[in-house]
Amino acid sequence: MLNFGKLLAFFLSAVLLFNDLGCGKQKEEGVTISFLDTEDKNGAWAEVIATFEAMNPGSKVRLIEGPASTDTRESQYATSLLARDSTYDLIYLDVVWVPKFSANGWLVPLDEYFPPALQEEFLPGDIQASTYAGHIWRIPIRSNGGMLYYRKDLLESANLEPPRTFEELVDISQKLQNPPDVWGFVFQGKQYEGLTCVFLEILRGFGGDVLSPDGRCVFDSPESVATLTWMRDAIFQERIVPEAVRTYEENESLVSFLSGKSIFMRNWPYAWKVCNEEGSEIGGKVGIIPMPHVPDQSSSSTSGGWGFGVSQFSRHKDEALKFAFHAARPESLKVFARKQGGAPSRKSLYKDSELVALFPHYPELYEVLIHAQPRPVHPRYAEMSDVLQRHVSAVLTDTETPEGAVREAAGEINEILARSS
Amino acid sequence: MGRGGCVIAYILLTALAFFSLAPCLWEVSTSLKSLQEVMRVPQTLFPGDITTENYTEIFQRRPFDRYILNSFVVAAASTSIALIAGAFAAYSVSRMRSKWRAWLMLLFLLPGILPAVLFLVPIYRFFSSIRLTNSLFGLILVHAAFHISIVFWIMENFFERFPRDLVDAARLDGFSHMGAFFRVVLPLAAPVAITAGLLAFIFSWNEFLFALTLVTDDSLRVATVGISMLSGASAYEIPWGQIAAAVVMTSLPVVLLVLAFQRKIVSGLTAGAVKE
Amino acid sequence: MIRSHTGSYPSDTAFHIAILIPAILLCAFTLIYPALLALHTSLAGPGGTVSLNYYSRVVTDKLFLASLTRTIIFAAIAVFLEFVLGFAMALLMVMPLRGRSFFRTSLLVPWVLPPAVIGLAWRWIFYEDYGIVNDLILRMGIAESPIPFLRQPHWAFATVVFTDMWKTAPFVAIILLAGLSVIPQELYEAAAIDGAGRVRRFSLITLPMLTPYILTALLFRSVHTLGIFDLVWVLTGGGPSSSTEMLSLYITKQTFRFLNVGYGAALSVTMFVITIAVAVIFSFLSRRRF
Repeated sequence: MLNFGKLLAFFLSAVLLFNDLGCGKQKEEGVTISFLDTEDKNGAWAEVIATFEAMNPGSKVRLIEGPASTDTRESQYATSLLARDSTYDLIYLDVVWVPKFSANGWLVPLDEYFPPALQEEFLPGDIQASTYAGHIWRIPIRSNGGMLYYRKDLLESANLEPPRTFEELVDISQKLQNPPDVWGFVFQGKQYEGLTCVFLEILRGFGGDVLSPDGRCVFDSPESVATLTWMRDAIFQERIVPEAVRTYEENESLVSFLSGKSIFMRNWPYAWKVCNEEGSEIGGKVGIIPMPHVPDQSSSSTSGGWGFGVSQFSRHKDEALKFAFHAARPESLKVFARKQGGAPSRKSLYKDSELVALFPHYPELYEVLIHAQPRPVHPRYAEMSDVLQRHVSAVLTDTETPEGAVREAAGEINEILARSS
Repeated sequence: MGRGGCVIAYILLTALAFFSLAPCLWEVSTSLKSLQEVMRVPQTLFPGDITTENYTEIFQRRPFDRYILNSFVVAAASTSIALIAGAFAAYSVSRMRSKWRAWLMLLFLLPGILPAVLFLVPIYRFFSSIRLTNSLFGLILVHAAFHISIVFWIMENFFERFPRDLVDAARLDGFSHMGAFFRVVLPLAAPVAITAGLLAFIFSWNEFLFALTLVTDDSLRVATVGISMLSGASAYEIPWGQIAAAVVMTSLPVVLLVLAFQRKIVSGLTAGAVKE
Repeated sequence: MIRSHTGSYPSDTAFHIAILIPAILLCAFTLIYPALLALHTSLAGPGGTVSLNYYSRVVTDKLFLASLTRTIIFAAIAVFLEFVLGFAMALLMVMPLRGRSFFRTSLLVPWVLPPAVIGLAWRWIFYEDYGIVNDLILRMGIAESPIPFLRQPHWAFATVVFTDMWKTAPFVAIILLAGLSVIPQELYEAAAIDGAGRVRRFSLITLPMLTPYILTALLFRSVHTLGIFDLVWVLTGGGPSSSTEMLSLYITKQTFRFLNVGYGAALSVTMFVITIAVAVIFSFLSRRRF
């Protein structure tokens, strides 16, 4: 019979053995910089990292390939940083994390290394979103902003100009659509972060906003009510938006647009590459313009995008910063643009002949991104966005009136502001 | 029971067995398919061309061997600690007849009854304040503390019925307390201890919440967490074949344990229920 | 204080206390002290005072209350279904059939698999675009278009219930099986002689004899279902539209995403109290009857 002592001895020796074999921390010469992003499917990171390592012998960069969900990656960074771990030297930051991460003291202020003269070379929306409490915390790599995609071929054959106002959007949609086969307009209507982005664009196009520049809640306004009323009516009155939009994320809207089932689509820059890929039914038939607005207001684009911040707990801050700047070099940004299809964060690249040859829509894209505005810049943005998502979603399912939703949401946002002061 | 009843019982049991095993078999099938075949509609029941590319991918692109090793280390170490501490405690409490007994029973049994998530935020905060996060040791401690319940549950039940005369006799023969415990009590308790160890090992292998939260370094991740990191470049390009391969690799050890020790596992789980 | 049962060796007591120490230290260090620390944090007011601020926020937090209701509904449905399925499994497994061992092992498999891992398997099975379930449904013409198992709130909730049932019915079955196998066969024979039919024998003998086991199974399942995390996290992450955001996910969201660590501690304490209440109700039920 197996006895107890032998059993224990077996377990313990197994532990010791394996600990020796594989689980002790590696002791390598030189410095290794780690950060977390999604899977490097098209090899863009690998190429940028390879050039860095070739130029800096002794330094290694490790991309930890994490889950696709942005929220999950944020939680992973937060879990590590909250415990003051040095797991990640660099934080690959979504724009909206900047206030939260910096307010918690997790990021190194970069003012010294990233002076205004250098900031000038990047898109202003990205810089604005990387700045919080008077300091710059992030080096933008990938820019992002929402815009309206439209079917150039359909509009041209009907002899129509692309819409500039919400009214024109409704008119053209009603003229050209044929529901349920072809709808006028699709966007990201599911209750998640994407909905906040779309909602902010429409809200700002109506002249409203969530927070004022000095950080007060200005959401309880007629503009907010008008925005929500327009969005609801687009589904239930004008019927230019399919009800299914309430389950759409980026991909669902893109699938609808790609298969010719919609005329207008709100989406991010990445969609352009997909629309014009080989085998696409709508290749070459797609145009982009800024989002619509009401007559006396102007278009808005919600800025997104990714960039590097340096962890306060990193043991190799200098090396980390070096790699961050390496990844932000024009040469590296071109690699990302070519391989990932994202929009580069440097202004000059939109006139780069090599890139424009590949992506002829760059001049229009530049017009959108140059006007991109950040989401409310506040450490508790995630909670505010949660509030907006719930109430906007409730209006889109017609379970809350626009007036009620605005009142409730403004109340909850004020509570969040009160708690954080 | 009549013949008809027998046939119906067989049919139902076969259906239930299929219901229980089908997802696992489907994962095995998926893991052996090529990327194109995984996404082919209609789905093929069996892989057309068996390929091991999904398996080589998870071991080459990801440190999946490291994840599995870490899982093994955490499970083995926490099980050992829990077996020692739990067996001691169970023996002690089983010999006790004072008012403390009930309280100690509660202390040792409660963590096994309560959902672990209740302790997540407290342990995370405490461990990060004393720098015990991001180490396998911290995770081992947490697992061991939770396993004490199951070890205690099973072994206390056994020791209650353990003949005291044997211990007394050993003491008269000149054994010390420890000597009597290790030479007389434990050898007889070995089968029960193995059962408890098996269950603790499985729980530890399967644990996800603390492994996800307490450990952030990629080289320290365990298999259950490592697998949830495999989700592709975007939410729309999920590498189902690789995930299936990882599911199979992570499930295999526990499935083998069940195949080998089904009886023991069942008896361990029912030890407490049988008690009253 | 502690009297050794053998009585004849006074130092027994010292030995018995000494061997308690490792387990107590381990529990105190990893469970009790952190829990007390969290309780302390949750009661922290401005400037080091004691306050119930966090708790007044808990009881007025609509999202928490919604999540609590959702979790209770989930637990009620899931535990009921697990119980029914588990009971059926137990009744079948107790039959003296050939191949019993094979069936027992097969039925046990779902329960021993890692929830976080098996959740991924189910996500693949229920995947909307080319998952096997939708593939079969479309091929058999049961529905016109794929069912949005994980994309539509009600479907997602149902999918999580189903998966949890699949995973944990074996646990209920094992506990009930233990109860069934200790019921003396003579009881049934005597009842049969008295002319009791199948249904009467079941309600007169099986059910009452099984009650303690039923309560044990229900206690474990209810308490654990209230704290479900892994499976939901992997399957839906709490979505869509918070439709599967159970208490545990709400607590982790408040703590690690919104960084309301103090509030997260207060939520943990609240959930602790609720769970203990459920456990006490069950142990009260089992004591009253026996």
